[in-house]
Amino acid sequence: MSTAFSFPKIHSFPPLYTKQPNATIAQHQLESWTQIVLEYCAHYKITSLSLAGVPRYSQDQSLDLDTLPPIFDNKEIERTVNEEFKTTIINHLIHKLHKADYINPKNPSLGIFIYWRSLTEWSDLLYSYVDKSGQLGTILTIYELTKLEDAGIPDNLKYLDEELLIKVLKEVLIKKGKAQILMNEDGEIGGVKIV
Amino acid sequence: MNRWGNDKDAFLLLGQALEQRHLDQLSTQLSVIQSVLVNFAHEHEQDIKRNSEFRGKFTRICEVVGVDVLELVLTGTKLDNYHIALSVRIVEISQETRDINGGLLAVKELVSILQSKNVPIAASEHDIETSVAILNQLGRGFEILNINGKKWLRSAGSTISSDQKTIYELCGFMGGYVSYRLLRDNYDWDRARCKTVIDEMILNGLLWLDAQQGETLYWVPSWISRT
Repeated sequence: MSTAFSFPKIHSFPPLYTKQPNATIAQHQLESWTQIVLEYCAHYKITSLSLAGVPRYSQDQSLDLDTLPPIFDNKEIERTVNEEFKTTIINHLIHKLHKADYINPKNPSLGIFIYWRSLTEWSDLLYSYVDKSGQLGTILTIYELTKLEDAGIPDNLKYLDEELLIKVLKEVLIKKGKAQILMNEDGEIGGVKIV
Repeated sequence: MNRWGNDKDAFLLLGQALEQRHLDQLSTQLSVIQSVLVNFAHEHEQDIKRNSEFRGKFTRICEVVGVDVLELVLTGTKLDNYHIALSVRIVEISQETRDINGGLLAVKELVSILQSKNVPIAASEHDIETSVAILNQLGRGFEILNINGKKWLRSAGSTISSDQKTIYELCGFMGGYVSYRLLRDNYDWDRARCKTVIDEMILNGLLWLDAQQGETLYWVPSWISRT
């Protein structure tokens, strides 16, 4: 079990939950929020959130996502970030910081990937594991790449969200010519070859 | 192909040598100018201190050439390097935090920021007052204010009216916030006065808006770093 995330002091500052009218301050406020989101997700190894900021997937299988302290609510001071402000924060993460992306741009309501580790960093981890384990050029299933027990998969890759893994493959490794995805007869991903 | 490669290497080496020589010459010239400036400062110390226009021009030349004005002007007086270095840090921190606190920084907070730097500086409130006095010799316009028994550093360029000071006093008393009602009950201010003062303080970054509960509250940003 991992330890509880300790929110920074500013998370208990009541005005943080109201969008500030002063533009300079509002900028600082957005930076505080995006930093909280990224540190929180990195702490719990959460790689995707709903648009409401609720954890969607964590690599840490021992976590019960429903019991985690919420990001955008603070019960002690009875403050909550409203929907409009949440959208502003998420847009800032996606468009300004490039630290998040819609899981499916055609259907934003599915939620967002959070990049406390960039797609390139994920691809480096993946490539170096496959390389070091002597599996370059071998066809591997998604299961074998991230979930197989006793296969020596490093902790930081273990149980990586399948949707995120496919994004890493498609947007980084395939573009560099370092991976191929093989589809089966049902049109699903049958295997992955990293070269 | 090979010969061409050799030529290329030779040109590269020659180019580097020329560039290095040029750089050496320039830095020699620069250090000559710097030492001339230092001598000049010592010779004309009184003039520099007395004549503000002269001082301004001299300071600008120093900046361009990379001479530390603080050290120059203060070498004559009996101040140690510690307080000079501290005063430089104070200016830096005031500038860094100005956007968030509107130019009014709790001295206690300043002490803890100094300690949290990569190279921590231990400073007492007294040290800070000494360094602020040094800064003011240079016409910097910093001021230590006393609000509700708490010391604040007001940085150059920002101003605090007596109404704003009153609001900070009440915030200190209330644990960080004020509201129109609190100001009316405690000081008998009417709505217009509350609005004028508070709106300006929000504009200057001296207060943060909290509009989640029934009554709108206004908070001091220094709450975030209170201990």
